[in-house]
Amino acid sequence: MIHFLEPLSRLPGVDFVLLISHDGVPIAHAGAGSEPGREDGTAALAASWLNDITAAVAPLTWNAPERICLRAARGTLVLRRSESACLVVLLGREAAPEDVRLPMDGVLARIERARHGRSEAASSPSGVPAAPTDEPSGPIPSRNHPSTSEEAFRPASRTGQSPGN
Amino acid sequence: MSFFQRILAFGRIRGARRALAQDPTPRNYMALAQQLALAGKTGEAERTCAEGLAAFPDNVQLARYHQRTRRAEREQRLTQLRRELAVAPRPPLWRELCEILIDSDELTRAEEELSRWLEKDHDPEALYLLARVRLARFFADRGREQGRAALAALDRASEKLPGDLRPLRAKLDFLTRIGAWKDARDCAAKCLSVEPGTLELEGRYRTLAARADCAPTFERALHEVERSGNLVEVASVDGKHVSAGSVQQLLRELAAQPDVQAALYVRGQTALVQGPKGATAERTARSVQNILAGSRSAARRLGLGQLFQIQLEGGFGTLSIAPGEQDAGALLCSGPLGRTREEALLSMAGMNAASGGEGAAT
Repeated sequence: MIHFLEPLSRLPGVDFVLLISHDGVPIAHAGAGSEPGREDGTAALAASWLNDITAAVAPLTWNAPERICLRAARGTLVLRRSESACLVVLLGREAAPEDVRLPMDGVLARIERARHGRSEAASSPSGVPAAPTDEPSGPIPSRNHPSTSEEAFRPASRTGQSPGN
Repeated sequence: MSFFQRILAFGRIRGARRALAQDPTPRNYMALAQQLALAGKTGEAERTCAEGLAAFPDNVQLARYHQRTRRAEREQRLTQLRRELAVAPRPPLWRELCEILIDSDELTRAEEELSRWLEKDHDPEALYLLARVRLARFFADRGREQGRAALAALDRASEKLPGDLRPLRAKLDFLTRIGAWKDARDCAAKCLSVEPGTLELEGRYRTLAARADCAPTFERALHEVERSGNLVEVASVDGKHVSAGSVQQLLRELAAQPDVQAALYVRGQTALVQGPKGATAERTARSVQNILAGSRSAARRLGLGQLFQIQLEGGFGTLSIAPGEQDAGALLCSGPLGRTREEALLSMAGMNAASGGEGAAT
C-alpha cells in the first residue's frame, strides 16, 4: 500500500501522507516527516475529527463529507474519504490544499481499484483471479492471501463497511 | 521556491505594482499584497495592506488581509526565535516568543515555553507572562478554577515585581470584569500607591468605591461568571465591534449569488443567517458552530495552531468556514467556492460584529 502513497508524499509541500480506516486505524503511511508513532496519533485525531464533522452535519441530512480540509497557522490537513478508507495528507504552511486535490483523488482511485481487484480474486471459488472482463484490472497483481503489510486493509464485504471490520 | 518560480513571481509583482500605480483602488492593493505574500514577502505584503488601509480605512477585505499577513509574519518570527533560542537562550528572546504565543492564543505552548524559561532562570517577567496566560485561559473558559489560578498567578507576579504596575493593572482589569468591585477598589488603591496622582486611576478608584457597597465577594463573582458565562464588564477591546448591519449587508450580497445556498456569521451562541429560514437556518447555524468547535480542538490537538479555514465538500456542495478569534463566517455553495467569495468570507471573520440584533437565527 505504501507504494501508492509514496508519489504523493514526494510532492512539494507535502509533509506526511497517511491512509487510515474509518475507525482511525492507520493502514499505511509515507513522508519525510514521519516520526515513529506519529501515524497513530494523527490517524486517531483525523478519524475523530471526521466523525465529529459527520455528526455535526447529520441533522442537516447531509452525508459524510467526501473531502475536508483544515487550514491552520502551522500547516494544513486534507482528508479525502472513500467508501473503504480515508486518505490524510498533512501539508506544510507554504502548500495549498488545491495543489494536492488531483493527486489525492488519483491515489485513492488507484487504492480502490486495487482493492476491487483483490476482492474479485478472493470471491472466485477456485481461488484464481476471475476471468478477464471489459473493465481494466487493478494496478497490482491479485493475490489469494494478503501480505502482512496489507492485512489491515482487507476488502470490505459490503458497501460502506470499513476495512478490517 | 525555485529560481523559475521566483522569476515568475517577480513578473507578477511588477505587473501588480504597475496596476496599483495607475489605479490605486483597494482591489489593486489587495492584488499586490497577495502577490507579495505568495512570493513569501509577508513583510512587504503587510506594509502594502497598511498603505492601502491608510487610503481606504473602511475596506473590510483589506483590513482582513492585513490581519492575515500580520499573522503570517508572526509565524515566521516564531520560527526564527525558536532557532535563536536553541543556540543562545536569553530573556528578551523568551519574552518575545511568549508574548507572540499569548497574542496568537496558543496558551498551552506559551505555558510550556514559560515553564522552560522559569526552569532556566527565575525571571519575574516570566511570572507576569504566566499570569497573562492564566488570565487569557480564564477569559476563554470562564471557569472558577481558571479564575482562582489567574488571581494566584497575578498575586505572585506583583509580589516579585513590586514597583511594576503591569500585574496590578491586569489584576484590576480582571477584578473589574468579573464584577468583584470591592476587591477591584482595593487593587486600584494599590495601583495608586505605586503610581500616585494618575488621573485615570483616581477616576477608576472613585467609580469602584461607589459600587463597592453591595459588591459580591471574589468567589461569589467568579461563581456568577461561571454560571452565566458572561463577564460583568466587557473589555475595552470589545469596543471595536462592527455594527451588525455591515455584516448583514455582506451576508445579503453573498446570499444573492446564484449558487450560494446559505451565508452565515457566527459569534458565540448567536448567528446571522441569510438563505435558509426558520428551523433550517437554526440547524445550519448549529452545525456550523459544532464543526467550528470540533475543528478548533482538532487543529490544537494536531499541533497545527490557530485555525484559518475549514472546507467541507460532498454531495451537499461546499461549506467553507473562516474562523476569527471570537467569530466566524460561513458560506454554503452548490459549486466550488471561488476566489472572490473566499476573500469575502475571510473578510467576515474577525469582524467581531454585534450579532444579537435583527436577523439572529440562534
